[in-house]
Amino acid sequence: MIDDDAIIKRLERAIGPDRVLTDETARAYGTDGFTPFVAVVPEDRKQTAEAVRIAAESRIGLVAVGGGTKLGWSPAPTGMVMSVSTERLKRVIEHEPRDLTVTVEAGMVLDPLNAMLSEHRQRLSIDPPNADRATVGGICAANDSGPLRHRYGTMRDLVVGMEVIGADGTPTRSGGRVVKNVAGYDMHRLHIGAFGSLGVMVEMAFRLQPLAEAFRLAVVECGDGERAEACMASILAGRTRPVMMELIGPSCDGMAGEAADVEGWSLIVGYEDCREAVAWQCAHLADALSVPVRALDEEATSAVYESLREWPGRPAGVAFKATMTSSQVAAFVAWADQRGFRLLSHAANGIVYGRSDDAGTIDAAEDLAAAAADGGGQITWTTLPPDTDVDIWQPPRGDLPVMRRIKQTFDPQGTFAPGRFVDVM
Amino acid sequence: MHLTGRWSVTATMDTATEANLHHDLRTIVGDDGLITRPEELLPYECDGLTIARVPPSAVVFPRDTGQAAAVIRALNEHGVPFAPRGAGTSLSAGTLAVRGAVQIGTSRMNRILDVDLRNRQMRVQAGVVNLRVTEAVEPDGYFFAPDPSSQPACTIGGNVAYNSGGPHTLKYGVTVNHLLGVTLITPDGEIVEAGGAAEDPIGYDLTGVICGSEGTFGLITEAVVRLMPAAEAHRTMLVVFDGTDDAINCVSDMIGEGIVPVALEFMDQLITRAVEDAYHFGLPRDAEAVLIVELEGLEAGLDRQADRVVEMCQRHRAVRVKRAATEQERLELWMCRKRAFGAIGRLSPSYITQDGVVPRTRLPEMLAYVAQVAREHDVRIANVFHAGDGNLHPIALYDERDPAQTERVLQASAKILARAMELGGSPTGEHGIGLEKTHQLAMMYSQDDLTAMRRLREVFDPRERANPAKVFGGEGLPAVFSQMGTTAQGKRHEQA
Repeated sequence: MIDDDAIIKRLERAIGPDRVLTDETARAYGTDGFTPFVAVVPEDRKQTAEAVRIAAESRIGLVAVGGGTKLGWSPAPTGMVMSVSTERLKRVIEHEPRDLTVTVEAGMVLDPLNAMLSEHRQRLSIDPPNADRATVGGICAANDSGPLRHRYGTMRDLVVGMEVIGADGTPTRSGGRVVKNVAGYDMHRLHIGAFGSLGVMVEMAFRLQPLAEAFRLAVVECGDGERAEACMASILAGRTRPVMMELIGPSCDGMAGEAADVEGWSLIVGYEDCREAVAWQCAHLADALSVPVRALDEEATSAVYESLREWPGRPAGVAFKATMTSSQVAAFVAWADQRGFRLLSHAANGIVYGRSDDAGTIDAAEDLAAAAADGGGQITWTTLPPDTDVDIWQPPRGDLPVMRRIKQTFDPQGTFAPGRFVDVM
Repeated sequence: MHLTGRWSVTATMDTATEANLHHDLRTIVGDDGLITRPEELLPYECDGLTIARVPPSAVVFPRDTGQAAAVIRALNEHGVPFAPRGAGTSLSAGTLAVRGAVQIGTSRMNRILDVDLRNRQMRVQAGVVNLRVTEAVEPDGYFFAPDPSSQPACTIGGNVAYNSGGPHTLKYGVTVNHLLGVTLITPDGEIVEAGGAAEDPIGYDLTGVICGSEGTFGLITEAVVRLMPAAEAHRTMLVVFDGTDDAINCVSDMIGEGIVPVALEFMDQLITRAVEDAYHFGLPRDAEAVLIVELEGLEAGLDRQADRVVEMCQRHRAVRVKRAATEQERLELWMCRKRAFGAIGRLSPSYITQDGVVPRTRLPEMLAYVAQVAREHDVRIANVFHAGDGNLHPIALYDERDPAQTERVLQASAKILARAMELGGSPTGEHGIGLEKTHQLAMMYSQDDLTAMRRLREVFDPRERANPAKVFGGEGLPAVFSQMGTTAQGKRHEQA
């Protein structure tokens, strides 16, 4: 029998009573689906490790919480659960601008980090939604990303080192603070996209990019799905080098904001480079295309970019992220649109976001999964209507047994994020 | 019967058992897919790091994933470990077959399985040579970004196992950034398909951890790699400096000011002279440092960027800037760099090259330290390296017939790597730990860090049958590498 009062007392002694929240105040560190019986807000990595140790010894579950923007991407954890917030772990450990790297604690929110870096004309080039609240740790845990991933990749490309608190409260490091390093295994890669199921990330080092001189978007009005695919293929094989390529599905849903003045089936193509190269690309994008193309001015570019970036993070009744090869995106989008979803894609990367406010659209879940699988990909349901038996994650393919062994090895007791991820695949 | 090398450690297997195993392997790969005769095995006793030699008991050459899985199952039944080998270009003795391992050569798994230009990817067998990937898609305007110096020979399987880099990875990233999926056979013969054609596969990033695991998780038989569109234009410059610090500070300023060249290569005086004496490119023999800077991108605006680079070099007292005016001149400038290692043959009979990394801004003190170590140990050390990402390649020149000199060189190497780690860097940016730097790994990470890594290895390979002794050392480590450092037990962990 688990004695929650005893656990709370132990946490209070180890971490300080003002860092241990219960009842109503703990609720803020859960979701609609789950309320932690206790939430801990450690001051530093040592206290975080202490919280993990206590959770493990008390045989309760532990969920790490950053900005809480993606907690709903996972099923509610099972059993008695402690939330551990990283909100106070937001120190900059090291930033040497001329090295183009930065090391920060996991609770650092992306926007303030990039505000600091912009003083040196640098940027951590990841642009998921809700960056005013999302922490770098949470973005890593969910492997979230945004339009710019076409040029800069995801956290899997940007993290160069990490410190993690493991299941017995022991901190371990992998990688380092240099951009090139092949010493030992890249253990940190296991945690990126693991939804907190293997440990609590407490610190990470990133590679940075210099801010570009210019950034501009252009709208390609494709008209229909077939032409959208033809345009994408032409652009990708052409002379310009987009840093982003967003495909707006048939129903526009204001996803590009008013400034874009776009209809459905439009591609929003972005260029980032020196002034001359951006101007040249905006001027020549239309060369190989037989549909209307127009470049946006600076003001419209900012507004449209922000709107596209935020759309996948806006609340919806039903929402998914589908992956597939880029060439399958347009056909999938046309198909999913007919099933009641509005769709926006990082089209060159084969990442499709679908949303609907109609809970009934979930009935198409199996068909959607099959359609994504046809394109070599999978579906993750980031928002599910209540009382559905659809699985959030599609099971991975042949590699699931290895993943289960990894979970068993690094979290044998099932302390981290119980009932999530490989537990439910 | 085994040939016994100087540092050979081979497990004993009785003749009848060995004959059985060989019979089983021949059944799978055919008579011409297995070599066992000592004279045939000679080329397989060492790789690019020639200081250690261990002849394998046999080398087997499967043709595809199915044959490779059958080979590994047969080895498993006989309890025999294996060491994967691509083209044998490892610079950390990563392919040596210790603990009685049979080598599995991937040279017959050399087929390109699928090219998908629309989705910018290619599925290849592990034995496909790096340069062949680029050659296959070059006419269509694509290339494979990782470009280690050995790219005309090294294989994609080796690139994946060692997470290879190269000069052009400063801008484009290393192998893991260009890898969508891998097929791995664990030592039990289990075929693991990690990742695939689509990005962001659900689940743990197995592709990401298999990449760089140095063959210790199993044998990589296939990979899905990304293709990149080739750049439209280049501006390539050879810049001569009178002072090493000027050159290095120039590099840091360039990066700090937001110019990320596609390559930024440094050569010191010793190397420049050797290259000049060998190939007569017209390099100044008295220059302290030479930088090769390459910008690439669209034609539009590239000249202005190149002008900024020139201006910056002049600000750092460059004595000469040579801009390649034609593609021919550009290739010649690159030839200076690419022939650097070849030119070393003129300087000494043997050399050993390290590839420690330091944060870019620590390069000046690191280079000063390298010079100091060279003096103290009476060793000649040449420097040619990827300055843009702080990846050193100090090349220690020696004569391997002279044991005293050999020992001095190994000690000097160990000191240099230790200093790189003290400065916040890594003992290896490209070459990997292999058998060579297991001591350095233990200096870089704490005991707890290493335990976590070992446990991950056990997920794939609980009995250490895949590339034994690599990364973590232990039994079978050739004695020569013990001179590279004392047996460290893991550094103390800095607690928060």
